[in-house]
Amino acid sequence: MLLVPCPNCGPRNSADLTLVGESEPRPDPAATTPVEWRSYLYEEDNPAGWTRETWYCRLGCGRFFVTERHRAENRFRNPPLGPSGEPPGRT
Amino acid sequence: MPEQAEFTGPVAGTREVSGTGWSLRDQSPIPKLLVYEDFESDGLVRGHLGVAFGASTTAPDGVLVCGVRPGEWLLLGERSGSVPPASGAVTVDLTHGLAMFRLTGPAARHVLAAVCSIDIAEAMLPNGAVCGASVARLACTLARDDVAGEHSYLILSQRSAGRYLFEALGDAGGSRT
Ligand SMILES: [Zn+2]
Repeated sequence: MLLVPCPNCGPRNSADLTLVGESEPRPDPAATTPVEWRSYLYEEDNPAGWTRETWYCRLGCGRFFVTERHRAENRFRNPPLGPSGEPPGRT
Repeated sequence: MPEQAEFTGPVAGTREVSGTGWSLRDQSPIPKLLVYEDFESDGLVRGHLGVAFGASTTAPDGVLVCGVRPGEWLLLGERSGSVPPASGAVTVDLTHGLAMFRLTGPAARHVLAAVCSIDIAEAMLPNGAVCGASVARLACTLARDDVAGEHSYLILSQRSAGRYLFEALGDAGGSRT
């Protein structure tokens, strides 16, 4: 079971969340070609190492957050802090 | 204009089932008000309601105020004075949109654990705690609200799935106790 560190709910089974994808800066719509948009929306680098990802806490708090995961080892690091400034801990 | 039908729960016929050490009651007719905090309200609504996400409190008029999501609360019960301040709060009446069941008794925890996706042990979900979780594979809100010292959980789902959830919880009770 993969435990995902939600900043609001604490570690939760990944089945309760949705992996939205790699988190990259949104390109400027005025200066982006269709090919670049498609790449931003649908393509991933998918490295066998650390990557920044957006997750959606579907069954918990209903919020999006960004964290880092090692895609080969399924470890997380640098989880976002909760509302009280503490790392995720509850539930 | 046709007369408005009396509001009942999503469970036709029997509205209560029980087994050894647990009972399940359909409490869907209880008023449910969802309160959103405006992004610019600067915590005013939260200050007024007195609880954050993951916790609940009982207002002086008996309404159970549950922090169901960051910046969102469910007010359960007939309100008198606990209407949130108009500035910074958006309210939606979800009385008819949600099903709500109360699972009570010394065996309630085992019944719920059979169909719930998260750890509901005492340390994780103490009395007063609120969380979102999968119950019988539905997205539900759980609120631990003990009654007279006995374990009790409020379980809320979309009303359209209420009958299924009632039956799934009853089946879990039958097989676990
Ligand atoms: Zn969450």
